[in-house]
Order: sequence, then C-alpha cells, then structure tokens
Amino acid sequence: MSFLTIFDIGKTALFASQAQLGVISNNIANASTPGYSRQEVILTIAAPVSQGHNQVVGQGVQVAGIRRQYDALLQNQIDLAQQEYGKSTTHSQNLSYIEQVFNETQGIGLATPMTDFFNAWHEVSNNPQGLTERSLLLQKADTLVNSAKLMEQGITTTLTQINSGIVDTVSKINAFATRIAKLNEQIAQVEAGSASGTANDFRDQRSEVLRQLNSLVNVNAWEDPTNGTLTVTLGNRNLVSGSNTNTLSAIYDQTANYIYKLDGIDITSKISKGELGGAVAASGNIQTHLLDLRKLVASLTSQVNVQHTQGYDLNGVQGTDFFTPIGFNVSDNSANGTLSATANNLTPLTLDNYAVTFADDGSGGYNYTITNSSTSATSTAAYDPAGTTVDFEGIRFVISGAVTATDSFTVAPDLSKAIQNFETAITDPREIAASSSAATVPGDNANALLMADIINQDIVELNSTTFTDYYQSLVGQIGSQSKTAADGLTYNNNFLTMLNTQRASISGVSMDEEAANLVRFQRAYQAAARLIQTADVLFEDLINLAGR
Amino acid sequence: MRVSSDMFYSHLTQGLLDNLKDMDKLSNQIATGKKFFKPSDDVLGTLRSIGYKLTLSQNAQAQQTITEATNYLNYNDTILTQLSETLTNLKRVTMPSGGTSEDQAYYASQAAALRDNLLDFSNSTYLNNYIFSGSLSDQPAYTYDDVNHVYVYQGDNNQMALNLGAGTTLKAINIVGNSIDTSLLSPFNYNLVAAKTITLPSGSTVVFTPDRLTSPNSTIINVQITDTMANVDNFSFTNIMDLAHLISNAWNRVDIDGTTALTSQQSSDRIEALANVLDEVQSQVLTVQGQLGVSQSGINDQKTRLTSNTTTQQNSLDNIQEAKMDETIISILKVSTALNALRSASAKILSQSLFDFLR
Repeated sequence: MSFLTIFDIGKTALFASQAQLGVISNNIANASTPGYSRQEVILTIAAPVSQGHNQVVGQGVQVAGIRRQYDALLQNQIDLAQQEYGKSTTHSQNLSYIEQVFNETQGIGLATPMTDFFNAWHEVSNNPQGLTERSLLLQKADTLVNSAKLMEQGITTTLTQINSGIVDTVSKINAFATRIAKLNEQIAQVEAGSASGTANDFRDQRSEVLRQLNSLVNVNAWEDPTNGTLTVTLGNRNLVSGSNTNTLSAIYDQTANYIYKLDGIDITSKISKGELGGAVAASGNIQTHLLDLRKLVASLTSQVNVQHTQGYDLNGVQGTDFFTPIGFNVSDNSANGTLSATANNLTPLTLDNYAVTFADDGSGGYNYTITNSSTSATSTAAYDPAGTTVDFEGIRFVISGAVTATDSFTVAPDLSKAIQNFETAITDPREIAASSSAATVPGDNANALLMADIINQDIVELNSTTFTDYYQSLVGQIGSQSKTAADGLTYNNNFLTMLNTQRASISGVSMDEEAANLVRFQRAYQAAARLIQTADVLFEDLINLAGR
Repeated sequence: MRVSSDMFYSHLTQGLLDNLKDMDKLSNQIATGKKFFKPSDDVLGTLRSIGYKLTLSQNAQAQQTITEATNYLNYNDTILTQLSETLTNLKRVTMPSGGTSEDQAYYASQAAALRDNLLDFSNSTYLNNYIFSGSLSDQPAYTYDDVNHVYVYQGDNNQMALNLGAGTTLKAINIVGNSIDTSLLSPFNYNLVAAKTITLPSGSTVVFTPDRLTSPNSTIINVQITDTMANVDNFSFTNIMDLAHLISNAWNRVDIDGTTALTSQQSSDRIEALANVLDEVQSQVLTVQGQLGVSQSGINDQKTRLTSNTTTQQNSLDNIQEAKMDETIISILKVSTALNALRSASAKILSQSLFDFLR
C-alpha cells in the first residue's frame, strides 16, 4: 500500500463528505418546500484492490447515488384523499354561501316576509274598508317579493361564482397537465441511460403538481417504468401521456350546465371528485334548492291569485291577479304545428307538465291527447288543423297546423321566471279584494279571512304541505346538506392531515436531524482533510529523508 | 416514529386553529346570546325555532286582532248602554197621560229629541265606519225618508267574522241595525216573531203584526188599535226612530206625516201601545248587550290561551336558541386556558433547534 493510496482514500472520504454536506444543505433549504422529499446520500464501499500476499486493501468510499425518502403507496393515498378533500372544500364552501341565503337563525329568508304578508291580510280582515291596512298589505307583499328576489339573486350569484370557478379550475387542470408533461420530459431526459441516477427534484415537483391536480379533479396516474413518465387519465381518457397533453374543456349547454369534454369526448358523468367534482355537486344541489324556492313562489302566486280573483274590491269589482301570474314554456317537437298555452282558470291550475301528442284516427285525421305528466289525467278529442282550442286543468291550449303521429308538444309552467317575474300586480289599495261579493262591499271581510288562511292550507303542488312547512323543509335540507358537507370536510381534512403527517414522518426534513448530520459530516470532512494532511506530512518526511 | 420539523408546525398550527375556531364560536355566543348562527349549526333547532317564531308571529297578530275586537266591542257596549238609557227616557215620556197642551208639546219635543239621539246612535261610527250598517259600513245605517216620514235602514244583515288565531274564528263581531232574520237580534228594531195582541187599560185592543220585507231589508210592524167603540187606527213602524217619531207626533195629536190629526183617544192609545213595545225593545237591547258580553268573554278566553301559548312558545324558542351564559363563559375559560398553554408550548418548541446549541 502506497502513501498515494492514502491520498486517494482521503480524497474519496472528502468527496463523500462534501456530497453529504451538499445534500444536507439542500434538505435545509427545502425544509418548508411543499412536496419536497428529504434526500440522503447512498454511500458504498469502494471496490478494494488486491496487492498480493493475501492483502486486499480498501479504496475508500464511493457515492452510489442520492436517494429521496418517498413512499409511493402513501403518496397515492394522499392523492386520493386530496380528491375527496378538494371536493369537500368546494361543496361545503358553496353550500355555506347558500345557507346564508336561507339563514333563518339571523332572520334572513322568506319565513318572516311570508308570515307578515298573511298577517297583513288578517289586518285587512279586521278593518276591510281601511286604506291604511290595505296599503300596509301592499307593502308587505312588496317585501315578500323583494325578499324572494334577493334570495334568488343570492343563489344565482353563487351559481355564477361556481361557474366562474369551474372555468378557472378547468384552466388550472390544463396548466397542471402541461406542467406534468414537461416534467415527464425532463425526468425522462435525466434518467435516460442512468442506472442509478434519479431526477429526485423533478419527481418531487411532479408529485406535488399531481397532488394539486388531484385536489382539482379525480384523475388516475401510473408511471411507465421504462422511462419514468407519468400517464394521467381523467374519465378513462388520457389527460397526460408522456410529453403530450389533451385539453379539458367546459362547454355551457342549453340547461345552463357545463359539459366537460376531454379530447372531444364527453366525460361529464366521470367528474365526481376534486374541486371540480365539488363544484358540479354543489351546483346540482343549489339548482335543486333554487327550483324548490321557485316552485314555492309559483305556488304562492297561484294560490293567492286564485283566492283573490274570487273576491271583490272596494269598487265592487271582482278581484284581479294579486301577483303577476306564471307563464308557460312550450317545447315544440312538430314540423308544422303550433301551440300556445295561457292560464284561463286559476282554480284547477297546477304546476305540472303537460304532453300534447297526436294519434291517427284511422280516417285521415288525428286525435290529440293532452296528458298531465304527474297525474296522468288526459283530455282527448278530434284535432282540427284549422285551429283547436282545448281548456284543460286551467290552461287554454290553442293548437293549429298540420300534424303527424310523431309530432308532440310539451307545456310546462315557466318556473325559471317564477321569481324573476314575481311582482305585486295590484298597486291601488282599493283593488284589494277583501269582500266575498260585490253587494257586501266594503265591510265584508270574508275573502280577506280566506286569503289570510291560505298560509294554513295544505298545497297539493307542494307535496300537500303548507307554504311554511315546505319552506321549513327546504331550510332543513339546505342546513343538513351544509352540515354533511362541513362534516365531510372536517373528516377529509383530518384524514389528509394524518396522511400528510405520515408523509412528513418519512419524507419531511428534521432540522435537528440535519443539524446533527451537519456536525457529523463536518467532522467527517475534517477527518478526511486531516487524513490527506497526515499523508502529506508523511510524504514530506519521506521526501526529506531521501534528500539528505 | 420519525418526527420532522414540519410535523411540529402543522400539529401546532392545527391545534391553534382548532382552539381559535372554538373561541370564535363561543365569543359569538356571548356577543349575540344565541347558541347557533346558521342552520347547519343545529338543523333541528333551526327548524323548531322557525316553527316557534311562526306561531309567535301569528299569536302576535291574533293578539292585535283581539285588542281591536275588544275595543270594538267595548265601543258597541257603550253605544248600547247609552241607547238603553235613551229608551228609558223615551219610556218616561210615554208615562204621563193627559196634561196641558203645553205639557203635551213638551213631551212631543222631548220624544223628538230622543228620536234624534236614537238616530245618532244608530249611525255611530268606529274608525270612520258605520258600525250598525252590516257590511255596507260606508253609509249610515239609517236615513230619514221625508216623503214617507219613516226612517229607512241602509245597511244589510251581514256579520263580520274575525280570526283570533289557532283556528279560532269569532263569528258575528258586529251588530246589525236591522234584520228580517228573527235569530239575528238588532237593538234598533222590534224583533216580533209572530202577531201579538194586547189590551190597553183603556180597553182598546192592539194587534202587532210583523211583515218581513227583503227590500228594504227590514221588518215592518203593522199596528192595529181597535178601541171600545170599534174605531180602528192603523199605523206601522220599522224601527225605534219611527217609534219615537210616532210617540212625538202622537203627543202633538198628529199622525206620522205630521199633518193628519189624531183623536185624543187615538193619541193616548198609540202612546200606550208603543210604550209596550218600548219595554220589549229595551229587553232586546239588554239581550244584545248580553251577546256582546258572551263574545267578549270568548275573546278573553282566547286571549288567555294565546298569552299562555305565547309564553310556552317563547320559552321553547329561548331554550332552543338562547345560549346559556354561565356554561358559555366556563367553556371560554377552558378554551382560553388550553389556547394559552398551546401558545406557550409552541413558543418554546418552535423557537429552538439543535442549531441553537451548536457553537
């Protein structure tokens, strides 16, 4: 063994210590970097050299590689938990916005305006000829109208925000997909042809981007062991494949909902988790609540109008619509037919949908059939293409034009505008119909009493409940959904925190540990330097000896 | 288990956030006095509180109606008391017999004045509405027909009902000024069901016959007096103003038109016959007042029920939504102690690492 060997061994020790100190500094620098996995140097014994005489001399130490502390299974669990957490966050947040619209605990909502409106009818019944009471009733009606409009505005604003958030989220998903594709390329380049070298930092970056992507939408990912690239799928379609990406797009459809397409294929039904899944779920829940609220207002409009038109005002004139009546939507599935629908009798009017179909009568003509989609009640007779007028369940259907057996129409109350068009139609207090007949005006309060009693009546269109019970049930549903979403968020947050703790336990940087290692490898470095110094002294002594 | 620096931070920050969240909720409870602030805090509590508030609102409305109804009934009672006193005074005017012509003129003027008082009572208003006109409350109950010299009822016999809450409807809050319905008593007309005959101290026979007319809506009482000489005197009246008018004119010895002369016998018989009716009408007024009392009693019962129900509902509402201050304050102290301990521990743990000890 020569002195030079001591130099070489010292050098390997010095380099190894340098590498250790470098990794420690990287660990310390990234201690708070999200997604960073602690790294450590893998040391191996350098291949020894045989010097004969059964002497095998060690050649020092060798840096075999730098390893990141990473648990792939745990990371996969975190990714899945991140999907649930992302969904819970958006779902809970949006439902809590809607909850504020129905926050009856703070007196916000429709319960008080609705009760006040019917109480005002009581006041009118106490003094049916009193203009003060009548004016107060109109004020309370306006308050009810404004409250309903404010609630609808609150809900539609939230829906708009959700939609706006969806556009942002889709944009972020595409950006993350592009980032993963780029990192795939970089990882493949770094690791190409290298048996031991791994692109630790790029992989950490990619894991972090994938984690963020999972918080946005429910993607699946798998790594190609041949080149280290990650394939990310969404709804069984590739979002990222190697260095290529497909673009996710959100397209607004006719029903005011988004359709999600990836690579041109509709994957809407596959979006179930992540922030996007939460937004889709929240949007669905909120639209249901909005429909329920509109149905309540439509029913209230109808019931109040029905009773009001049965009374007589201070001028002895029969009452007119108290609130602006609900219109109808006609869906035309015919080539040449036309249909118009108007309310002509409020009493039997429902909030149901109607289907108008035609059947060959066997003699060259057609019979029409109008069917109530909820009750299956029908009205059928011969159809006259020159113009057929049918009064059915309070609606006047006017149909004309040539039809065939495949033609049909759908008539539905325009609930979408039930609140938008909700207005007090009466402006003159004298036009409030408090009396039951023209002859008993002005002191008769019989119709006012019936109006006031509407609040206690079970309404068929509202599942045979009263307005207040239906509204209470709506508040209860929203409260329960919000509570469930908040509980889900707490659970998912706790679960994710637990997983992140496990990850931090494996991959996190401990400053104490790094400090200890820093001292340790500083000493190792100093020892290696001292080894070289010692060899140098010995070598100098030898040279000096030879020079005498 | 290996512990990294991030684990310390995340555990401590999570602990701080949890404690601060609890503290925020408790301080909100202290500030508002409420246990919950949104439906999801307590879904059932919220639904129950809506129900209680709805009932309380309806009760408040019913109590308002009860107050108005009580005022209305009290006013009616006052009018009827005054009406009764006026009828007593009218009765007094029928008591004397004979007297000088000056005396008789005085009685006539007294009766006429009382007649006008009765008309005023019949046209009493409450909140600018004529209270004895039925549903036609915008017009006086009675007006004088100076062609036929009678008082004509302008109203109808509709009765106003009031909702006193909890499904309780008070029927017939108002008293009608006249009615052909014998089950519906009015203090202003003679509710004679069937023909009635009486004999006066003078020996004259008086037959009262009711004739119910739907237009105008009133019962005419036809009176036929047959004296001992078989002389017949026919006249009629529909209400107490007519009655007072007849008495006044009888003292003046003229018929209802004020010009057709009456004999002394006719005058005195008319006064005596009508005095008899006055007794009946006064009795009717007392009955109507009694009916008012029954209505008032029903209202009072309902008021008691409502007050009791309101108290119960309010207590239930308070129990559900009001925060218990003592418990809340104790909870705040507990959370505050835990929070401070965590802050203190955090400061120590986070402030140092091995680096601080390396020299």
